[in-house]
Amino acid sequence: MVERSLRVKVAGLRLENPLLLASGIVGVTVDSLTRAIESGAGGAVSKSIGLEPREGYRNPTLVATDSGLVNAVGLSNPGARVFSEELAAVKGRRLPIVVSIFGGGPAEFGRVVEMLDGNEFLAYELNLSCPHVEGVGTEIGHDPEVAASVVRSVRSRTKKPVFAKLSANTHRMVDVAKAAVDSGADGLTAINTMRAMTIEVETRRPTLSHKFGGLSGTSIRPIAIARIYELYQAFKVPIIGCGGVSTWEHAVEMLLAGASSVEVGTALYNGYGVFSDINQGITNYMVRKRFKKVQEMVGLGHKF
Amino acid sequence: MVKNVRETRDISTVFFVDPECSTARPGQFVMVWEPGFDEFPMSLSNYDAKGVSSVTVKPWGPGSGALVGARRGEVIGIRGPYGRPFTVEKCGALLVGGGTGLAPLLPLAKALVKAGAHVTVVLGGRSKSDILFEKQFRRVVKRKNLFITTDDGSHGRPGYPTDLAEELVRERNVTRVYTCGPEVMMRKAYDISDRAGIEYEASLERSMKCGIGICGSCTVGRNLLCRDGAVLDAKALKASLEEFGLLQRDASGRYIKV
Repeated sequence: MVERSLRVKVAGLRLENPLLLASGIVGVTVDSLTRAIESGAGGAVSKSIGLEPREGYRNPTLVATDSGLVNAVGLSNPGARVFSEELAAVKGRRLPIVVSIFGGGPAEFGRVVEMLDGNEFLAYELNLSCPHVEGVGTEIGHDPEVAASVVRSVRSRTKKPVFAKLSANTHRMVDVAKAAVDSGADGLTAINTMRAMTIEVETRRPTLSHKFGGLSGTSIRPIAIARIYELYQAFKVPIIGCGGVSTWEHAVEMLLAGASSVEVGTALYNGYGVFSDINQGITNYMVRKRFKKVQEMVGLGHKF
Repeated sequence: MVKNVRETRDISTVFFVDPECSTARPGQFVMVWEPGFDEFPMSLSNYDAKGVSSVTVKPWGPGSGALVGARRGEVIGIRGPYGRPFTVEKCGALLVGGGTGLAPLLPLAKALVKAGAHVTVVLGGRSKSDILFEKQFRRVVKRKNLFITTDDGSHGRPGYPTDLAEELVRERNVTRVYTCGPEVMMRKAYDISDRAGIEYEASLERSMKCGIGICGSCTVGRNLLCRDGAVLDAKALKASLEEFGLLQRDASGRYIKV
């Protein structure tokens, strides 16, 4: 096995490797985030945390299709107070955790930050893009002015880096990204799931209890690549790529499109081993192509 | 859905046909979708080579309530079978179950007998009318290896199944305890096995959403119950003793009592 450092620096975050556990995947507890990190992820993004506990939608909340997973879990989370206690319990362990947060507006985002900020974690990822929860998703993330006010509210309450997670469900994504960057976001995460639905033919019912959900998995990766490519052209801030990465080729493709690090979510379907598998593949590729640092690959797809 | 068999005053076994379940192993579960109500995890209580399978259900919510009353010909959704099964091998097996927890122990008993294991079973319930699958277990294990306990003493030995299990572990050549039922009972069985230095496997239950290792709802410590369980062994549980038998996370991820 050839050794290569996979270390990356993303808006001040120092990560052992460019892979992060994506928000919404297993990371509702600090135990699960820790397991992802110990399994080889350079960092782990928590499930989105809001002000109050939320149980999410009634099941079915997820349906597996031949085109990927469609989910409407409904932002279930234990609430900022309880999650803050869980983070406090691992103080001193310097775990590379990014906390995803959501809210119904700038004031609510601000209060969540106030409750969490004293804890030891790397950064915030603002969920401006949930495609299936009314009042906290598209209403926030498809409107540049609202997004700007949310980012300002968070920015004024923390010194930690702030990433805005964007939705590709709107033609205004680049406008929202500009609003976020102009309001002080240190980086952008793209993309979230794509709004989707399935209908079960025997019963003729929409399968998910919430009817609408978000599509994830390999089928959304080409959409993510296009969006990351556009963002890289438009902005200087680092981009965290997200959407359908399950192999090292996918991860490298995302780096070439302009992502500085890459989130892995739905691929956890095959177990926590996915992080070390992808890292090994990236290492082999770097040796073969004579790259010394991951950063050297970022955005190379733009040279042509 | 092909048949609904009333087992006790509130427990029913619902038979359905699902070809994928023909490959199931003891302790595996399916996600049962009762359209319009809910989707929830249930251990398989029967399965055969043709895919005729069953779950054994007690009404506790809207979905299971609807399932208990389901009729022949009704369409229900089945995903699975999922999860890590019980270990089936030649051993000195003691099966300890209470209530609907006996459901996954029935196919386990059949498979263990087939594998040449020495199988002893303790069936527990509140009272005589709550004892599940007595007839079915009698067909699988010898009379001298089948024990019954009831909380009120109306059938078999009065007391909890774990009281009897403790004696059996002492008196018989038991090398592994298998258990499913109320978590407090399973924790007691764990402590008994731990003291005796024998192997242990339990099928647990948690608030489950996706069933396939994605949503993170069903954690027991670092274990995702849907992928690492629903059968967990002593090693997995030893690392989760602050939770096992005491605490579980609700659908929001907050701790509540089991």
